[in-house]
Amino acid sequence: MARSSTENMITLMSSDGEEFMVTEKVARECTTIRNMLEDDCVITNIPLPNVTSDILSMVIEYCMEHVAAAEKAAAETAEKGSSSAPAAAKANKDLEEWDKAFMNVDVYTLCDLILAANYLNVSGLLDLTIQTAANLIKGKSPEQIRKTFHIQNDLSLEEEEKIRSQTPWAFEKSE
Amino acid sequence: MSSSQQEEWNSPVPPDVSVGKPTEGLDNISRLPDCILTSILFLIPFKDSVRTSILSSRWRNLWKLTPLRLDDSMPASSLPGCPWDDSFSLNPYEWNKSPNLFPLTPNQLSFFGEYGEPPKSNPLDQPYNSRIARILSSTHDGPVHSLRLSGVKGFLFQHTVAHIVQTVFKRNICELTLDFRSKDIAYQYQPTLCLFSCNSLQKLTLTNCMVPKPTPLSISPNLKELNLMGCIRLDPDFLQTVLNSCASLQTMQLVSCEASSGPCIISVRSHSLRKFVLSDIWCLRLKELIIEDAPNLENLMLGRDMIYSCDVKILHARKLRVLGFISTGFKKLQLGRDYFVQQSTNSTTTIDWKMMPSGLTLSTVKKLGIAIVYIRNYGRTLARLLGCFPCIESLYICDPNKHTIQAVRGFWNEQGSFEFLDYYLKEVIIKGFRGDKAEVEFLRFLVVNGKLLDKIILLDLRSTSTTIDSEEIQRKLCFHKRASKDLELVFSSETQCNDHVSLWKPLLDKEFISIP
Repeated sequence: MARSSTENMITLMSSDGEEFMVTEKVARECTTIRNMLEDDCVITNIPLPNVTSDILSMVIEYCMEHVAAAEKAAAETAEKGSSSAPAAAKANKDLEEWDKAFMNVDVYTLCDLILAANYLNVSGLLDLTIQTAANLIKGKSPEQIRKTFHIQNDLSLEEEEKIRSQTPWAFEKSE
Repeated sequence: MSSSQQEEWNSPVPPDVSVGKPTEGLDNISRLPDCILTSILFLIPFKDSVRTSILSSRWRNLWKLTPLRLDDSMPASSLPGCPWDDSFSLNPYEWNKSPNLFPLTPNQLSFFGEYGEPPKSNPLDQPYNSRIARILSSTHDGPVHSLRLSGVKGFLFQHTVAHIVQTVFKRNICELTLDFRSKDIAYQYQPTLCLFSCNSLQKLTLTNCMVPKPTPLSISPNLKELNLMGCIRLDPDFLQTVLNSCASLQTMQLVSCEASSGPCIISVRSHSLRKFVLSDIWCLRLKELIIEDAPNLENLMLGRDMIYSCDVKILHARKLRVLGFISTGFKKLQLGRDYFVQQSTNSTTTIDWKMMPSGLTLSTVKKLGIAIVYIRNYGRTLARLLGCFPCIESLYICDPNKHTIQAVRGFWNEQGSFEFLDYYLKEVIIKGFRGDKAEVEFLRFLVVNGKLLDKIILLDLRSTSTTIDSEEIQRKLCFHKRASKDLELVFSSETQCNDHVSLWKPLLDKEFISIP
């Protein structure tokens, strides 16, 4: 994660003690960190006890990609005076594709990313991960959902029957 | 089965079982806090979300915490991302149309529990809707995200509406739409003042309602969008209070509203306001509109009747991007320190516009709409107006009236150059093009000088006596001498051209229904 030395660097430390050097701009993508920096501007070393190194490195990867995309768009606008619509649309599409590929993870990682995005308050990543989880649930039978997410069914047959009977229409087969 | 199904579920990579990964079978998702799980459920269809209740005890009640979106008019399939599926409707009118399927009476619309018992027969015999009604009253007592009541004649009574509205307010509603198209019920309905002070409310739309008179009015600081359409007894003080005191207000749209007293002056000082729409407001008896200080205002859209007899002053709006229609019918138009004043001549219908020039320009404006009304000198007025907007990319000229326009040959070439012709202008749309000399002179000037012009669209060629010959017009406009090789000349009737005019269309149409 080498960057030019003119930028302010911040060290983020994961729960398992690994250190990540990032530019302040990237760190500021996390609202939680931005608030810390605004409260105390000399801080350079931030421990993040809730986030493991694997997950933290992914969050940072996401933030860097999005910062780079925003910088590129801003530079193009500044250069031409006005942004050209097709170019902006293409850049958006590229970033969307990148996001999609980034979400190519197993469900454990997905849930850990949701928790990290929530804790660090990275709104774009939170939206992305939550939408991905929703897509995994949408249109699936309860049995399929349990399989996908390895959910243990701790309800007795009677309990399950009782819940079904409260909202029977939800369990009807739709064509 | 897992591998094939997994692909279908669009979770492309099967769990990686390398060292250090959590073991197979760990239920990670159930560890997520309620607020996250409910935001996931908020994104999926309502029926799917209810079905998660039998996943495990952890999931049993989560769907009940998920905010509801209620709409009484929806064939839901038409609205993407909405939680109701096809078979769902809360519209009592629909229930009544086929009595065997939907035997609910209007009273049973009070489905929220407090105001009426849902039917108690065997749940399996009940129609889908009443079962939903039952769910709402007995099972789901969580928040309501949005509610839209449109009401059909004879089925929504004032007290019913009041009850429903009161109930959803207790459930942290964010978006409320009371869209009464049938004026019979509508004008009887006067929302209570608490509507405006409800803290959770972010977006409020009232169509054909009676606006309450504010007696010290407290407005929710969280209100972001207020749309009033066809509302009556609108107190100008009320508008002023909303504009002045609502620190989050980003959008305000007033369409066909009738003022309780007049003539009125609206003055905008707001740091949050981004979009301000005033349309069809002769009934508002607006005398003057002043944008005093609106640093974030991007869209100022003035429609139809605004174009006559009113003063418009735009003093400070440094982010203004879309402006229209500014009209040659304004008594006075002030842009910064620059202003234009109508000057009557002895004839009553022709009015000339004089400008007091000070050289100020509005360079943030990218899309400009101009309505031409009763001017004697088309070229001169247009040239002076355009001189104030050096950076426009899109120009829409609406020329609704039949009038004879004087044309001075070679006039435009004497005007020197406009900055937008070299660097910005991409699109010109002229509505009501008739091929008058003055229009042709102006267009030819654009064709020959607009270096980036992509498109000139000539709309609505309703020439009854003579059919306009497109080749003839091309020739008149010196199309072969065009400055931009990509220029396309489009002759079109309005219906074929909706996407081009969509920005301005709501301001021109009588039926303005544009709540995004």
